[in-house]
Amino acid sequence: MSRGRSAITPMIVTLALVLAACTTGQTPGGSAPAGQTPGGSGPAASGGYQGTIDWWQLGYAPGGETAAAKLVDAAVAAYEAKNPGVDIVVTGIPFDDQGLARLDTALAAGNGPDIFRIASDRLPGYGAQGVLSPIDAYLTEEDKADILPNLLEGVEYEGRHLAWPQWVPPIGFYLNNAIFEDAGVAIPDADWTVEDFQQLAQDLTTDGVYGFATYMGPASVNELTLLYNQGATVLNEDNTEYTLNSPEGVKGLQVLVDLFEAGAMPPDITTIALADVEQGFIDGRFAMMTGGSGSITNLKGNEIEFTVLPPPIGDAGETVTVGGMGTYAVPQKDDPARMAAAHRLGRYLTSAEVAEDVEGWYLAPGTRKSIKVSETTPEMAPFEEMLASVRFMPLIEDWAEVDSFIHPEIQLAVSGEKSAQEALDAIGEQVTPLLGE
Amino acid sequence: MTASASVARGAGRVRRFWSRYGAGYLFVAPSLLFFLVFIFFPLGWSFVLSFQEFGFRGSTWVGLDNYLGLLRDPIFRQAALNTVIYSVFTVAVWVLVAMVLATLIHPLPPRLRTFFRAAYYLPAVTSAVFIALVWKWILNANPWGLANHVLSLFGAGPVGFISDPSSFAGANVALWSVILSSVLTIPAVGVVLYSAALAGIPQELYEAAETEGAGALAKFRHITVPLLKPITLYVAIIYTIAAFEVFERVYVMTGGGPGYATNTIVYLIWRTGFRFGDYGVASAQAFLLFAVIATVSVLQFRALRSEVEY
Repeated sequence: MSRGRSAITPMIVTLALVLAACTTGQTPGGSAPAGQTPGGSGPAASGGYQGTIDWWQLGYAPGGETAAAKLVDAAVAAYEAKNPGVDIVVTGIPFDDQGLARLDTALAAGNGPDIFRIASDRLPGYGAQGVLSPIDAYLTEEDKADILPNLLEGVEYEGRHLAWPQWVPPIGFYLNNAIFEDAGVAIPDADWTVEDFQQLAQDLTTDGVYGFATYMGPASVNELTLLYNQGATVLNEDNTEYTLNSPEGVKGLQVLVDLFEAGAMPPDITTIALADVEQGFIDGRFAMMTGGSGSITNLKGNEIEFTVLPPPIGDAGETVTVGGMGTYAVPQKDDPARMAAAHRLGRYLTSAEVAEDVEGWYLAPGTRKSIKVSETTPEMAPFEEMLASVRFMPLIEDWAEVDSFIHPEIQLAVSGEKSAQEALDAIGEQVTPLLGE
Repeated sequence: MTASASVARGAGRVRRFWSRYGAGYLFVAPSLLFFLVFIFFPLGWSFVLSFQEFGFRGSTWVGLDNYLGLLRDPIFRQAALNTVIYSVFTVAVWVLVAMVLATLIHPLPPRLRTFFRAAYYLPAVTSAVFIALVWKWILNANPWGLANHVLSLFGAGPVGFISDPSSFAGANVALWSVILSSVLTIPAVGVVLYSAALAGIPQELYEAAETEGAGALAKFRHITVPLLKPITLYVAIIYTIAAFEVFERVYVMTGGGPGYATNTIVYLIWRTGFRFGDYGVASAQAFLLFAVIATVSVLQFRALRSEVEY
């Protein structure tokens, strides 16, 4: 180690940006190029494009090393067979902040992919900078009728739809059947209430078993289900005002605080990792946990008997859950034909057609009425039923920052360092200036 | 004197310089090129970026706004305070432990000395992430964490070592736990450096002290410590730099939480740059840290420098 190491810190930031020096001057926009007809993904609709499409996929490992990679390879094979002359090159990027930083750097430098998979909460950031080619010009009437309206809104930013919505993993409540059985407690119905949930969490807490666990870290919405189901929202409808510190929000957060105080949640709940929540559930240490549909595969693989319920009903008076959306986005490019071809691939990857071509393609409920994931994966049915009750986080450019202010304060409230009201007010102090920018 | 004579004399000077130093410059050229491209240029770029608001389609000049915003930011101030507390304690303990360990193994037979040097160097060649993961398990708040399991044998705990943000001894429990995990990791480089330095201290000094009736502690205090001062300066500086740049331990063990209890400056830089994509502010944070480290290093240099010769 030497004095030179002190130079590393600024370099971490800068090295990631050096490539951006070559930023090309591209014009944001979203109209379909002349002569390009939106349509299906079959040969007739290939648009005549012959060439390469670069597809960046989060978490993809070449050579079919993972189950998800095998699905991607199968989708590529199916699409290329239907579109002779199209060569899809898939590049895997890590499913973490470093992977996203690599994507951002490539987009900033103008040499990014033709299409990439991304969560909907990052779309406004790209949309505000004019990085993406909106899908509006490529959306057919058939698409509009097929995609659930509230889910199409989930990719809308400033009047334009920024990406092809693929799937929605709403946050559900997983119940460990064995723990319920051992405790002699009946599995509740889907219309259970917050009071039922609180009582269950405490009843199921025994030596070595905690009644409930949820991830409270960044870039997640898990614990927010218990605030949203009371009727709280982070921002108001037009995203101009912070509202999580409403009486509904305070009541929801107080549920978590009370459960922690009662010992019904593990003592490290404020810093526990997302994967550790799932592992604790698998190990029989947590009777209930929050999670998206992505947990199903892992739980089945570990031969865990479980039940999925929607979040308990709170003061909102109906089932309300929160979730994100997986999408495929197409960056702006100088080559209109290539961009159009990428959009056609985007439609295919989010359609019922790909589900027919690639068994098990959808790891979460699809965004189209024509997609029924539960037909092949019955455990997915409760998540499909939750689709109409999903609330998305606000589509604002600074969502990542807003998100980073929410979780630490919730952690402090749960730890007893602040009251629920103080914690939610403290979030507002950080968030409100961002809304005014 | 004519112009042509002046030119010829200049050319001669260049030729002499080249024949004398040319080979040396050629040898350092690859390293210099690497330095310019991958260190100097990014540093300069980062400095410029710290005065800009980063955008995918071009950045906007914002003057000192990024720096002034940081000084007003309570989260940055908390991270800075956490970093200072972490650094003060870890550096002090690391330097002391390294010096004591090196002193203890110095009188051992050569084979045993080599064994201990190698053993103590292991942490330096072990993945920092792996070490942090092990400490995370040891300090796990649940009964199945090693520390809490031991406490439970005595009917105590569980203690939320890394999940308790409550105040404790001027900081908070979670931060002290991270500090504890650091100071209990053997300062490998320091042990090796001190061992090498100890070998250079003339034995006659110790023999003379023994003749005067000095005990082991007196010899350590009045001979070893003063004569190790140059190495202590170096070790203190490199450990200060390392401590101020603590990241992976925080990232793995606590994720900066609970709340902001274990946020440090480099953790914030990572979060601001790679999670928010706010590279301008992240650069400003990096340069503030750079300034702090440089200042502390200068102060350490002034406080510890000596003219020791032996």
